[in-house]
Amino acid sequence: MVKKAISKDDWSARLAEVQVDRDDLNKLIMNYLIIEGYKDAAEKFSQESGAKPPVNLESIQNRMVVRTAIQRGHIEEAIEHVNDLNPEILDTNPKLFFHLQQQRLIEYIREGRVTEALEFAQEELAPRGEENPEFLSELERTMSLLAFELNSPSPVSDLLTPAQRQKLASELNSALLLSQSQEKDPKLPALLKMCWWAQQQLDERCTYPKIKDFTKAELVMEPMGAVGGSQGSSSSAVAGA
Amino acid sequence: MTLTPHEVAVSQLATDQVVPLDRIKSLRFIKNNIIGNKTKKDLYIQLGIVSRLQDIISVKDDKDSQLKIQAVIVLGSFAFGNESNILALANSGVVEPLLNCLNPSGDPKLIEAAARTLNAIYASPKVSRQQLFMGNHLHVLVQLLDTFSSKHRPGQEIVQVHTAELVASILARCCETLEQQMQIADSGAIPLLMRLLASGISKSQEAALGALAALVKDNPELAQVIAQMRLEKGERPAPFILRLVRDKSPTMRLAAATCLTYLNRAGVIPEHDGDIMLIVLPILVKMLQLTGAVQETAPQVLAHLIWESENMQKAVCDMEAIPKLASIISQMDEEDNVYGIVGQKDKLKENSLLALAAISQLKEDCRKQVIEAKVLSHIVSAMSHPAVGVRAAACQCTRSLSRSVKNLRTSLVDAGIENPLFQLLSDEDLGVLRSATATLCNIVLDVSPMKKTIMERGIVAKFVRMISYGDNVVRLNTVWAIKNLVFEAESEVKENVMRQFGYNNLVLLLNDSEPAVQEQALNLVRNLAHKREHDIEQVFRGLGNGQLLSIIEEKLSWDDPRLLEHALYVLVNIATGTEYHKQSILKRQGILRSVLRSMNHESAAIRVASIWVIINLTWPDDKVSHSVHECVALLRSMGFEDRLLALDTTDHDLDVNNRVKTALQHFLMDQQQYGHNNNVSGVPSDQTGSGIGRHGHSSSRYPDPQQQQDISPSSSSSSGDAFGGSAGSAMDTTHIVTGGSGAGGHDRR
Repeated sequence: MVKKAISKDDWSARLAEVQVDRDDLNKLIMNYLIIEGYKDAAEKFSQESGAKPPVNLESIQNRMVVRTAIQRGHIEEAIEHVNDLNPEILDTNPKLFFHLQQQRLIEYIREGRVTEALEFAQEELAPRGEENPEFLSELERTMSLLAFELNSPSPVSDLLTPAQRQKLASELNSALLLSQSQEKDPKLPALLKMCWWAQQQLDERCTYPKIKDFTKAELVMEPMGAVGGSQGSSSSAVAGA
Repeated sequence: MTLTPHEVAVSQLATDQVVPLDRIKSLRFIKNNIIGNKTKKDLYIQLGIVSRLQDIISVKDDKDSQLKIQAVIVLGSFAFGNESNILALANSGVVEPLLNCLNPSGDPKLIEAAARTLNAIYASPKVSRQQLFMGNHLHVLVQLLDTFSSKHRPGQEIVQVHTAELVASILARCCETLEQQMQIADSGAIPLLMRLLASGISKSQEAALGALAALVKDNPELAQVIAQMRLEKGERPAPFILRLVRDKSPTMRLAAATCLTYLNRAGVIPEHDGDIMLIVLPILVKMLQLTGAVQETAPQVLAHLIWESENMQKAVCDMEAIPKLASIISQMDEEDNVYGIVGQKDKLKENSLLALAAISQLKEDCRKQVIEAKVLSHIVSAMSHPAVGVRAAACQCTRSLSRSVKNLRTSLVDAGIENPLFQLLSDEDLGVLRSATATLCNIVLDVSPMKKTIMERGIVAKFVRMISYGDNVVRLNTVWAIKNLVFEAESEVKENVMRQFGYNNLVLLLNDSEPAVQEQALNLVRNLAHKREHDIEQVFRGLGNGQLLSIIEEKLSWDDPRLLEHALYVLVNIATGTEYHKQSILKRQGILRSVLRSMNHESAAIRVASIWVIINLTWPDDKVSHSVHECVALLRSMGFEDRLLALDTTDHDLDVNNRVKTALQHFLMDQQQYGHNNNVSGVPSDQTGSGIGRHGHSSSRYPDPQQQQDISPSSSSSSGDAFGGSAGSAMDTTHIVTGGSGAGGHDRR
């Protein structure tokens, strides 16, 4: 199939015609800040842009406290906060609870407190594994941390990275949001995914200036063979989705 | 001996000792230990914490609300443990003080916490709901649904909304019997629930849907009331809920679908039948591919919706629901094999099996799909599952599948259904017994190769036990099964069965308190007496001539058309027997009068049956032509011929007409042979054409061309006996040989 070709100028002209509402943009950003729990940033943004936050910003405070505690490795503190906020969450989310306990074990190991780690694993984690056999493999992985030297790379050293804490913090944040009847996924990433998918669909039909790097948002023309194809009058530009 | 920190914490809760602040500290310590942690919950209950907590929350004054709140929260966490934790709470009497904590003058946070804890406790169906319906408690609860009330304090809106949601959930869980439903309705809950429904807050709407669904379930009166109400903008609930069923949240969709399902089943929203089919059904099917609580409950709602509805079952089949359910079930089996049966996913398995049972209930195509999905082996193994709900659901599955003749012969046998089914007949659960006995009815049909083997295993002895089980459905199914067992069976089989079962038991069943059981018992007699003189003789001997006919005479005097029909067919079959058999009927004026009366019955089927009695009694037979003549004379003198002549001209039913003609033929032949004066000693004047015999029909001398029609041999059984009557009501008539077999029929259950 001969693909239609659209020039960069043509494309840019069409893009310029698309109207994007400033209010919508602000809402998207506010939505992202709130869900991720950036309370101070949300307050400042609200002040400076005039965009109104849809929820009481104080409610974000609680989630922030929890997130910070996890990021610092103070898991027990985080658990206590969550239980004060909503005592049901950890009782109704066995997987989340297990991950929190797992992180406590990781922190014991990171601090070199091996005996306590073993005791903790026996008393707190083994029963969770018995109650939910699907947690067993993760438990085994964590336990094998004990076999390796802390500072040298190992198949399980990913457990010691800050990214591991981040993952847990996000998981907990989502649970808190859900319990507050709020959506747990920000809209901005969804939009980017949509854009990516739309480009893929369009790729099959024509050649056109693409965005290859979302952070740069530059239109890059793909090199191609013959120019061919009509100067489309009403070719569906971005509307392909 | 030093105490563990846990023991210390519990002791700190005692009233007389400690400063309130320290008690709160202990409570928090305990709370943070038990939340999410099942072993710690068990530990603390062992340490006797429940009574300490009960003391705290039972204190009358409102001063230490923070202490009470923490205590209630801790109790709530226990309620999220396993069922034995919940029962430990309920049994120590913690429900009443919790209900008292709902007092509207108290701290709103205490009220919310108490509602949360009660909701968790009522999650177990084993906890008694009694206290909630006593005293003022229900009224207090319902008032809490009112989030607009002026009594509420400002600044506590969120807490109040949460409380209302929890109360709606409590009501949904305490709404199982008719009385409970009506009491809740009478307390004014419905308008408040409607307000919650229209509130625009997702969780509130879901909670309201749950409560409304529980109120309308199996309750046509309340369903009607609720369907007719109007929401704020004047809209009816059903269209509103139809919008919610397309919400982006799966839990909302499920809640809405459940509500609509119950309204639909109550028949109060017929204008939405199309929507149910086109919108709700596909949405439920799609939920099978989700995970978690929604996936677990969706199949049950689906099963409920499509039960007894051919259209919906077919539609669900077309939506490929069966492969989805099959993969859920087989995947769980794999996991069970790896981890051992942990029991958490039992409900999902039970509901999935229930859905399969519903889909394959009425249509052969759907059953075929189930077999093709290769899930049968999993169904059979689920029949031996430790959880009773799973066993019952698996049994329902086999019952649905067993309605198909083809399956009986091949797949079910191959899958080894016999063993587990036999075991289930000794199950302790009533639901399982009911399903198992119903499945058995189909399994023992003549077309099934299992019939022989199951008899060898001693099924009849089990039948005897189940007759006296004390449950109407089980008894009915058992008689039904025996009836099917002896249908068209060899004499040997019949004798074997009755020898083990005992005619005295049969008499008990014939006089059973349930008419349905009597009907099957009569049908059983009909099948026993079918086909051979020897069989009839066995029945005579077993019941005693006098007793048998007395029973029949009695049944004939009832108004119940089902009993009437079967009783008549028993006579039809007896009348194919020996002279002695026929005479025993003819001696009974009462019976003959009933038969005569039945010829005018409003039901054509009964008229046909009664005429067959006459046809068979007057069946020409050279060897005993004299007796036949006497019989005809007797009947004529009682007015039978006149009645037949009347029917000949007035009856519009084709079947009846054909039988009337045949019967009249016999009377006419007798007249021609013996003359008009019915002189008993007369010699038959003309023997030609009377060589009809009892085997096969041949053309008659009566010059009525219509006569030929009912002589077609294809409609009679191969034995060519006098017609014994058509088969009883069968489910899938395409699979059953109708007509001439003469037995009382065999039914799919």
